[in-house]
Amino acid sequence: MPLNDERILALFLIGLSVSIVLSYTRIPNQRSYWSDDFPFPGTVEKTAGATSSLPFQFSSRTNQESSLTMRFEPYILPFMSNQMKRVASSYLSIVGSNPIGTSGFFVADWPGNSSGVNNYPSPFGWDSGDGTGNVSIVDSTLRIVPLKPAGFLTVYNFQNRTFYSDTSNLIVLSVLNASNALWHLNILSNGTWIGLTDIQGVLTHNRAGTFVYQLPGGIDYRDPSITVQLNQTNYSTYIDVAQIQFGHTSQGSSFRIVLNGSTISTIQLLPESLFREQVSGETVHTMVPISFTSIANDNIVEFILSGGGILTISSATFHITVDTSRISPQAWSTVPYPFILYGTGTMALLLSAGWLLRSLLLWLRTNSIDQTNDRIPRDQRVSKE
Amino acid sequence: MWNIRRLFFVALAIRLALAPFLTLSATFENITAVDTIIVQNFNPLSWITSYGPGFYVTYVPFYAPYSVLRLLGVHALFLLEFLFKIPSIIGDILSGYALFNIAFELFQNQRKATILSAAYLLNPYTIFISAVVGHLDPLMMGLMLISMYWMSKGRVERSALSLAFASGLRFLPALLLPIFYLYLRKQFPHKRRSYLYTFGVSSALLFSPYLLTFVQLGLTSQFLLSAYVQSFTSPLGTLGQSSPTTFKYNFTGFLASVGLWPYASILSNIRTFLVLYVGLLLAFGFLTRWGFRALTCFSGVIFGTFMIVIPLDQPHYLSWFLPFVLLGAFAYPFIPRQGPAVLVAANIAIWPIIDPGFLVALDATFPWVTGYGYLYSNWPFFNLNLQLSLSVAYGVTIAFCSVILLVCGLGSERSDSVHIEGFLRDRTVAALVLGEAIVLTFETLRLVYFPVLPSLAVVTTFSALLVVAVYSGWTIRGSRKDIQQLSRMRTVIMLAQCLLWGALALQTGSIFLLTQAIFIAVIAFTRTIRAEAILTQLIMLWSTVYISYLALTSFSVLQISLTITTLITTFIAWLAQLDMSALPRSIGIWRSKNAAQ
Repeated sequence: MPLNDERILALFLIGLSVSIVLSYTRIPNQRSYWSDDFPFPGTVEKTAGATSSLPFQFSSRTNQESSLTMRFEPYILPFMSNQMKRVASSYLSIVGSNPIGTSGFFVADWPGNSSGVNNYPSPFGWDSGDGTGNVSIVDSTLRIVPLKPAGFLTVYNFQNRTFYSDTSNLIVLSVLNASNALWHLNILSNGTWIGLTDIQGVLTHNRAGTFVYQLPGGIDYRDPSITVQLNQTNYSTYIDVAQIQFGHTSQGSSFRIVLNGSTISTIQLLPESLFREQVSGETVHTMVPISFTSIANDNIVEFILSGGGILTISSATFHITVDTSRISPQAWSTVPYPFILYGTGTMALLLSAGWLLRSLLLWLRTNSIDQTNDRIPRDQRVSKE
Repeated sequence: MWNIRRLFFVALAIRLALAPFLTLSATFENITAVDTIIVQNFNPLSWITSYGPGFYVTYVPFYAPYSVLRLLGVHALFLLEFLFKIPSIIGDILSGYALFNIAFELFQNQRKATILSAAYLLNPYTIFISAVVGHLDPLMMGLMLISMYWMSKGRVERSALSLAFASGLRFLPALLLPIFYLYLRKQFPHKRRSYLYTFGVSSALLFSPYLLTFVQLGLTSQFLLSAYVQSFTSPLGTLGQSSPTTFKYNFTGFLASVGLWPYASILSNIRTFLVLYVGLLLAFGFLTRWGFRALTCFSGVIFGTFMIVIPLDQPHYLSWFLPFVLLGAFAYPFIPRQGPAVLVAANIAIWPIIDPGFLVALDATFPWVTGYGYLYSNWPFFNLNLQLSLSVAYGVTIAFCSVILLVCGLGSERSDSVHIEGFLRDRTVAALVLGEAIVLTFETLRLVYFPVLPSLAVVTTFSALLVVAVYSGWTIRGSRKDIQQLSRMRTVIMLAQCLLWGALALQTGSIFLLTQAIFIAVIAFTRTIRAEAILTQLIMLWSTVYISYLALTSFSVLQISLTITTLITTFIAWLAQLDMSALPRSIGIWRSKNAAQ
């Protein structure tokens, strides 16, 4: 006897339920939570020496301090529950050009070059380490040549000299030639090797040029090394290192961010004369962390450029992030008021859904007539309704 | 034999079978939004998003069974995801029900109504959006369509309530209130007050939780209240947060990628939409008879205009437009059925096929099957330029369907439309169209994924020449049975396009493009209509994608200029195809001229 449609649907639903139960035995019994991010675009309050509409361009004159003052009002603050506040963090998101100072200069605390001065044991102060390849001096530069296909060569500097990023926060590496090679710079800090990204955020390079690495404060580091890999195996691979310098900038420009009267970030800008090649035209996205407890309903943020520089801000947004995964799902031990509000509507919805389902099934039954009746007007049919 | 009951059961079964095991981003977003209430104890209305209060009323109940299961030690996320897709599935069923009834009321033809309902319910796009992605848009559209149906039946209170609830899910359906009111004013003038009263009271109740937010903010700080009020426009201002070069569902991404966005953005924004919206309302008020056909057509045009003019058009926005396009294609046969087919195919091709979201979906529930993202990260067909090229064809089709809906909405209410005939049951024609489609698809894939394999280029060129030869032979045979005279305007447009294709072929050195230029010229002079119409539409569609791709990958200014010019000519040729479509006689301007000839 053929089954009618309702029985087929019932069988399907039973099958679906069994399938879900079986799946449940295979799928991890866990729940993921996602962080909530609440961004707040600010409004411009005033400017001094900077343009007042997007994109904000600061003055490049060295004898002028230029500033932009913005107001941020995180209007969700009065509605944040205690469990939200416990796991909330905030930050300022700034998108703009990579800033370059128009004043100041670079001071090398330790220049390593091919003259042999300050270098030990080889004329360049470097020696071969991991991997397979050759290290030699060619035309007063250090030539590093990895040999094996898919191989690498890491050369180390064994000066046994430690640098402090509070005083030497910049590393400048000059590579004269790079042929078919991928390379990056490492340092040893607290017993761990760290691959450095340059100020453009690039870790692995495949070209020659002058590359600048900026380190955060409070780091002791030593034993810089360069790892070189073959890019393609059928071509000769090498890089020529001309110079590596460790130092800092002096009398340069600075960029400060002040929140409600307190400085939350100061960035020393790299001098244009030395780093023009590296930073021109690059767009960067910076996130400045802000203590959640220090924010108020009404926040005044000042962006101040001292000493002149090339700086454009294309957007500045204030964010509050709530890490829901750190809240216990049972946090709402008392019933929250929005839940009451929506709960009432919910009950009404469920009741009406039941009624609608019943109506739908009735309607389906009455409208499932043979296709032969297609063109008969509804009011002339006798077998319906 | 298919009947409406079997159709609904099959549609429901497909959705229920897919929903528990596949999931995508929208479900996560919906769960996160409800988490703010359940887990964080937060008033979600204090944070303005594109969701209205109706969203929370609808989705919070589906958290309840999961909360009970959690007390029993069941924490599996996929169960929650399944529950959160049920509103979308209900929305699809509502839409299918409403479309069936609307078509039945209009034509008293159950077969036609069932086909329309099936075109919606068994459509891969609607199944994907509700059962896999889990957007709330299907529910919003279901409520809106049912409001439209109840309006046509004169049940104005139910209609008002339904429209208010749809507007409570997202604010967009409220845009249709003025044309709903004008329709009501003509059809049921004595029920106007009742309609407005019901809509006003139900909306006020639904939106009343906002009052709590306003009062609390006002008591805290006037500045906060002011910032909160200003933030109501923020969901439309997404440009600042992402790059327009990755917007893949209208012209934004393409124009941004070829460097024309600074000029295009002058017109592509919310202000332009508001101006056009007011213009459409005036057109509805003064140029139509406020009938039901005008109501449905203008509803589609408003949504279509929004999708084209607003910079960020997302995949699920098609849910707003598709029901009206299907009405235009299956109920009043204004729109060629290729229209909705192209929209659905392009939408799905952009995502999840070229960008294989379905692999992420499988990863979410069966990570060991797809290797924890390995397949997704190694997917070989990722290609932003191809997606953007398809987005141009998608945008053109939306514009094409909107123009037809607008023209038909402005036409008289008489059922004066002409059925689109299926193309002649000639095996040669079918083989020809299929062969050309295969050649064009193959050539596009070759260009995108294998641009430096000369042997493939030879194969595609040879195949294209073969199609031209067969077509030429076939038209000589078929020219004796002319159906109608040629439109000179269309011939001129096609010849102009042929010249541009030729210039592009010389510039790029592509013999394939030269072959297609010859083909367009042959079609421009041919006198047999049916195969030509199908082939022309196919070539127009393909040209849009192919030329867009060339523009995106060109580095020569001359080539970019040439491709943009060719693209504009292709747009015009698309519109010239209106000549070939089965439009109502009252508005087929070109058609009337042709008939006179």
